[in-house]
Amino acid sequence: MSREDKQFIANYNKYLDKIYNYIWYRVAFDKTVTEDLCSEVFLKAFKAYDNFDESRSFQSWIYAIAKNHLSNYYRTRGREVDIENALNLSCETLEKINTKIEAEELFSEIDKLDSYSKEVIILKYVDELSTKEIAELLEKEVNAVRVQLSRAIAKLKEQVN
Amino acid sequence: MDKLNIKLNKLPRARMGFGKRTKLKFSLYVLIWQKKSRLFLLGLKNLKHVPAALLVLLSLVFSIPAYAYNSPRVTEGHILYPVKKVIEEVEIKTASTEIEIAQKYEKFSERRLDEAKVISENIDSDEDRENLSKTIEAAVELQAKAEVTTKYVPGKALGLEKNMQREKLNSIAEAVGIEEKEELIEDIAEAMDQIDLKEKQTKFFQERLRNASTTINTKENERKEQKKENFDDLDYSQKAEELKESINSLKTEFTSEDFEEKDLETLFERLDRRVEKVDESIGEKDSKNINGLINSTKAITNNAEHFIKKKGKGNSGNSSQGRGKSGK
Repeated sequence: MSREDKQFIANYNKYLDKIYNYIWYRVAFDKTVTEDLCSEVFLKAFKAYDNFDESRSFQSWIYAIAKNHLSNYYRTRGREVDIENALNLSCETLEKINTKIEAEELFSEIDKLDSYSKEVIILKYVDELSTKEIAELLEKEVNAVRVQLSRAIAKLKEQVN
Repeated sequence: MDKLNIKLNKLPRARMGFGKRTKLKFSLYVLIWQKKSRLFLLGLKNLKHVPAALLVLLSLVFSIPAYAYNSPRVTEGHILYPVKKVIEEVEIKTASTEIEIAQKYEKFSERRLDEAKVISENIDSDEDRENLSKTIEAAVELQAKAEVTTKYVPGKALGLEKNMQREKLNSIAEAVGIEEKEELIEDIAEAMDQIDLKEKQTKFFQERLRNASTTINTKENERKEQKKENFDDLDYSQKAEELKESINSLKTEFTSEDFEEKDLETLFERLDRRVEKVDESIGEKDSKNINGLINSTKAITNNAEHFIKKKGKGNSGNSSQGRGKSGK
């Protein structure tokens, strides 16, 4: 196995769960779809790995691939939602997963936020991305993301309280 | 950390199922293996040029000598000429019977004449002249070897194409012209005479070959000395007279109606000068020089018609006429 192949396998082991959750949250917690899309993302990434610029972060690169792949998925399925509004945390979607009542309440509060705030919150707390990484993925300014994040948390606090 | 943060950090997360995870990893390894084998196949693909390159190399290796061997354009002085000579040597050495050897010699003699023809068509320098002389000499020598090899029975075992050789020499003479350097004209004319004289010629060649093979110079010198002592004034004067007569008959025979005047003038000037030299050499009792001069002048007289330009076309019909009357 070449050095590049070994490196890719190491990154795959590290980021598989993250990408899986990123997709899972954006396909209404559909396990089958998530598994298929996640597999496709990594296979696509492997094929494109020769062109990967090693000076870049692998995490940003794999998230960008996943985001594009999701966009394509929505487009080909003719779904009305786009990637910006992919996070659907309504009660109907939550039925697919066994969540605690506490989490259900939190989800319903997050779902009340605008799509940009929802996205920032999930990326921050579920995907555990830094503000800079979120900004890169959403193609926004870091400061703008930071402001948006603090506003979203403030609003969420307000709603929860 | 406040409660909200704790709650947010506890948002549900999922993992890909074991089966799907294994399947995905397997797919990745398949891709890695495919990439490897693709690289390997690519390497093999590149190897397919190796036979092609070998083929080109082999064809070069074989085609260059083949070209050198077959082309009359590969002449004395050409970079591939040594290759040609080596192949001919091999051919001679691999011939099994004497007749076969003689046939090879004759074939190579023909080749030398073909090469001489090529050189004669484009004489630009003294080197070309020298090469032409060498080639003609080689042709005559090979012909002599052919005849000697067939146990001194010229033309019997071999289908000696004297006429063809003569024709080739005629065309070389025509290409060279009377304006060329005298030494060259001498060589060509002598070669023509040598091809014409058969039985007599064979003996001459035998002697020539013997002379070439002998390394004892002292004997040669002794013979020369003896010749000097036995110098016969009368004999040489007689030969000189015969030569003058044949030149005079040539003068009456060759009229300016048939040939270019300028060429005729050059020819007779040259022949007269040679006669003068013969007379001078008789005075000096230089027998070697006299013999050489008489022989070469005779040869030029015999074959003069081929070196001078004819008026109009169709000069081949005239050739036997001139040579027959004036030469001998």
